[in-house]
Parts: sequence; C-alpha cells; structure tokens
Amino acid sequence: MNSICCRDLKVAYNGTDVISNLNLEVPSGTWTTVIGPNGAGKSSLMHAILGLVPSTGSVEISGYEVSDLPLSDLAKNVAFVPQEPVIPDGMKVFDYVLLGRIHNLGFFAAESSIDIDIAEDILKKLDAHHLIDRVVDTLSGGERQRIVLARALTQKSPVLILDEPTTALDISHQNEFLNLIDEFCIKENLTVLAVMHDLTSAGRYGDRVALLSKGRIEVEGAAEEVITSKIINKYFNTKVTVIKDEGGPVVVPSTNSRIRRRKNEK
Amino acid sequence: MRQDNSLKATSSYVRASWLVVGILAVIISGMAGILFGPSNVDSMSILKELIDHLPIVEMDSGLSDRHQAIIWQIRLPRVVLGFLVGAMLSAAGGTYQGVFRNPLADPYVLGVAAGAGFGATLAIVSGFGDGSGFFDPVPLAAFAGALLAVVLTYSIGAAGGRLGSVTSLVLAGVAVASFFTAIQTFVQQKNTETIRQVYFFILGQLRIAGWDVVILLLPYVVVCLLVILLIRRRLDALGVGEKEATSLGLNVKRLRVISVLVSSLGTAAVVSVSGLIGFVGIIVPHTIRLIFGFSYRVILPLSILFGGAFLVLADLASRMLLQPVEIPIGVVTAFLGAPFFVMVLRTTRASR
Repeated sequence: MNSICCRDLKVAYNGTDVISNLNLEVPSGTWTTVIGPNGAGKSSLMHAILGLVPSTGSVEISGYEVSDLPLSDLAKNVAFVPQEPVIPDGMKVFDYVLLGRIHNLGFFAAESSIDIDIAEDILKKLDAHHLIDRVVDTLSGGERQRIVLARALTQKSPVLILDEPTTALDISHQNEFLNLIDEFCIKENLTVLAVMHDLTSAGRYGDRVALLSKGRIEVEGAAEEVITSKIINKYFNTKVTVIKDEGGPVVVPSTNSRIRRRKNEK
Repeated sequence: MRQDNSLKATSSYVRASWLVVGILAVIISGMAGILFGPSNVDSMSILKELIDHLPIVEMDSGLSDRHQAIIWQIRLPRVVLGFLVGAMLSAAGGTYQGVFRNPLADPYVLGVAAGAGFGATLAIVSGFGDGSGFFDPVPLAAFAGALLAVVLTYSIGAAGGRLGSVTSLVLAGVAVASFFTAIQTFVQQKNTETIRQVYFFILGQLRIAGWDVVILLLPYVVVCLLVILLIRRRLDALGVGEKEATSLGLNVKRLRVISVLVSSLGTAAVVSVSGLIGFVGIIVPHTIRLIFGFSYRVILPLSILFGGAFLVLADLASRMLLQPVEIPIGVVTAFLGAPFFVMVLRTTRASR
C-alpha cells in the first residue's frame, strides 16, 4: 500500500507551472528522498502534498484525498519538518512541542494529560526531555532541530515530510539528526518523504531516491541507479565524480583548477 | 544519556499565586477608587458602609443619603467601568499582538480609534451630544464609527491579499485610520465651539454615568473576553507562522477572523463610552509578557486582571491630581505607563 500517492499533480504560481503532471508513489513504511537542482520545485512539491499551496490533480495520503480532508484530520495523517522553522519569541520548549497536539483539540479546548504524555514520551525517545523548561530560541542549532522534529512526531501521524532538515547543521549534527529520524521511523514504521541537498546523504538515507527537475520526476529508483555521475551531471548541469561505497554512492565535486595545478607541480 | 526525568512537564499556565496577586490588585485598586474622590467622604465611614452591604453583617456607617449615593451611584459604577475598559483594551491589545505577530499592534491597529473618534465628533458637533436629550448618542455614534472602520479595513485588507493577509490588513488599517482622522480633524476644526468636548473624547474620559453604561457595556465585554480566553492557547500556535500552523492542523484563517472580530467588537464597545485611551493595550500585555512569560495562556488572563486594575488607578489619578479638574485619562495612562514600562523593560532585559 502507498502512504503518499501523487497523480498528475500540478502547482502553478502566477500562471507558471512549478510542478507539472507529477506522479509519485511512496510505499508505506519506506523512506523516499527527493533530490534536484535549486528551483526544481522540491519545496513546492512538499507544500502541495501538505495542502499548503493550491494544486490540481490528486494527492492521497494514507488513501485520503488531501484536498478533501479538514486541516485537523490532515495533521493527524502527515507531519512536517520545515526547512527554516519559524521560532516564536520566548516560547518554552514544552509549549512548542505540544503544538503538535493541536489537531487533536476542540477549537476551545486545552490539552489533556494524554497529550502531555505523548509529548513527553517523544521527547524522551529523542533524548531531549531535559530541554523542556528551556526557551526554544536560546537552544543550539542541533537542539533546536531536535525540538522541531519532536513537535512533528508528537502529531503521531504515520507520514513524515522533511524539507532539507539538516541545512543549518554541521556534519556531526547532520549525522546524529538523520540517524535519529531513521531509527525512530524504522521502529515506528513511519513513511518518510525527505528533500535533501547533500547527495551523499541522500543516497545513504532512504530506500528510494527521486530526482526532480523542472517540476517533473525525471529518474526514480534505488540510490545506485539514480545517483550516478551521468545523471547528476546532466540534471544539475555540473561535473561530479560518483564513487561506489557500501553505504551508498559518494558524490565528489569534479577536479578544479587548483587541484590540476597541484598535480602538474608534482 | 542526559535523561532527567525529574523535570515535571507542563505547558505554560497561570500559576495560582499570580492569579491571587492579580485579584488582589483588582480589589485594592477598586477599594482605592471607592475610598477616594473629589467630594470629601470619610474613608472609615465608607469602609463601614461597604461592610454593611456584606451578607449577614450589620453596621451603621452614619453616611448621609447624599454620600451613600456618591458611593453607590457614582464611584462604584465608575470603578467597574474602569475595570471593564482596562481589561478589554489590554486583552484586545494582547490578542492583536498575537494575531499580527507584531509587538506594536494595539487595539486601535485596524482603525477602531479613528472610526470611533470620527463618529463621536460627528455626534458632538451636530449638537446631539450635549447631554440634554433622553439618552447620549455620542457612544452610539462612536460605536458605529468604530465598526465601520473595522469593516472597511477588513474588506480592503482581505481584497489586497498579495502581500500576505496580515501585512495587507495592517496596511489597510493605517490607510483607513488616516482617512478617518483626516475627516474627523476637518469636522472638528470647522466647529471650534465644541472642540473641548471632542478633545476629551479623543484623549479618553470615563464618563460619570451611573450603572446604565456599565450594564450596557457588560455583555459585550464579557462575551469578547470569554472568547479571547478560550482561544488563547491557539494564539500561541500562530507564533510559528501561517504555513507551519496550518501544517499542525490549525485553521489559521478562522482563528484570525474570530480573534480580530471579538477584539475589535470589544474595543469598539469600550471606546464608545471611554473615549480613546491610549497605551494600555500595548503597555499592559508587554509588561505581563516580560514579567510572567511569553505564552498567551498567561498573558491574556493576567492582562484582564492587571489591565483592569491599572485603568481603575489611572482613572483615580485623573480625578484627583488636578481636582476639581479632570485630566483626560489617556494622558494619565501614558504619563504613568510609559516610564513604568521602560523600567520593566530595562530590569527584565538585564536579568535575562
């Protein structure tokens, strides 16, 4: 069964198509990574799947048509970790994480002890429970991203959408963060659709990789099939070397003039 | 593992002790408002009179009928009116700051003040507002003007949605406010004989009107405050921006419409009787934010208590400082409020 299914999806801004006739399926319990050059429409695709921008065609999440679902039901089915989360001034970590339960509350209601327990449980699983009384905007980049993830997971939805979640992190925090998500999603059998900038990480996390270019999925398959020097060079319009490694393909930028000069000097 | 499970996880909430302090502030300011006033009534006798009105207790205050009337028909309704106005303006200010995610948003941001000023000025210059008639049309005209301004702002702002609805709404408010202020000033200048009355409305004044006004105002304020209290948790969610809040399952548009509607309606109702009292809607919620925390779960309930108490005291000062002349209460709120706010801002920033 597919957790995410897009058919003939189309997103247009001011009459220009940014996503056109896109088809994509993400089977339940798997991780698909979307790669693609800047401006390919990656964020628009994520936003369309989340129902945040108007689109035509069809998007189904866990079998429900997204445009038919009330927002609160949609949030029960899919959670979102944005590229650059907006952090409110002075908000306490626990208040922030509890926002993930808002879809479960009546319009005028307060959180129940069940909601509190869910949020606490997620924070413990992410090893972030000690942060609850801190203020979000005073956290370090790594801690902050963990809290944003905690908020998304507190929604308890079976599908998770990540939009370049590690852009602001250094390599150790990138590793830590992606491993954390990976372990959690395998354990809880979550479905993941993630946009990733770093092609080597993209190949390592994710059962499948989809390459998006000019609003279409051009190539889709296992990491070794998609991340090849031929395909990357063609769609990213650059020169890279792809080295095979047992964890997945490693993408290295091409030889530049400085390296060539060093070689010649030898 | 840095697991510290000794921390008890709770969302931000209004601590019982804060609530007690708030209620004490209301009681103390209310007592002060009843005990002091331009006509010299013996404070001890007033206390006895108040105790006498408690159930069971019997006590002779020895107050004359005239003095009793001053207490029950003039001072007490004025205290209650002050509380309602202060509570409403503060809560509306806090709500607007949350909805627009802008610390400078106040209850007048959508043109409520300018609309009310325009309506009141029209009523005053046309001679209906001289108090000679059976009832006073100035509040009614002010209320109508305020609502007209909000409706205009909202329809203009919603139509020009390209800038993002929040920004266009605020800009529409600026345009509507300048327009109404311009006409209001024009009308005011053409009718110099009533300029003093207009002036008092613009700077705010709690009119001595007995219980009628209070009873008229009460349902608006109670309903609006109740709705504001009920949506306060959701206002916190708006802090993460429209896109993220929507992805969390929040109907942002509906929340925004409800918040703007109740805040504007409540504000329109109170300014129609109090005139345009400035600063309260900015200073009170921000002071509470700085002292008690940034969550609207805390800011809004405490704004109601402390905002109400603050305005009762400001009104007392406006009656007492230059008696028998009353200073416009807007002058007092700015004069007392601004330095206090600066003090709070400095001390909390230093300790953070």
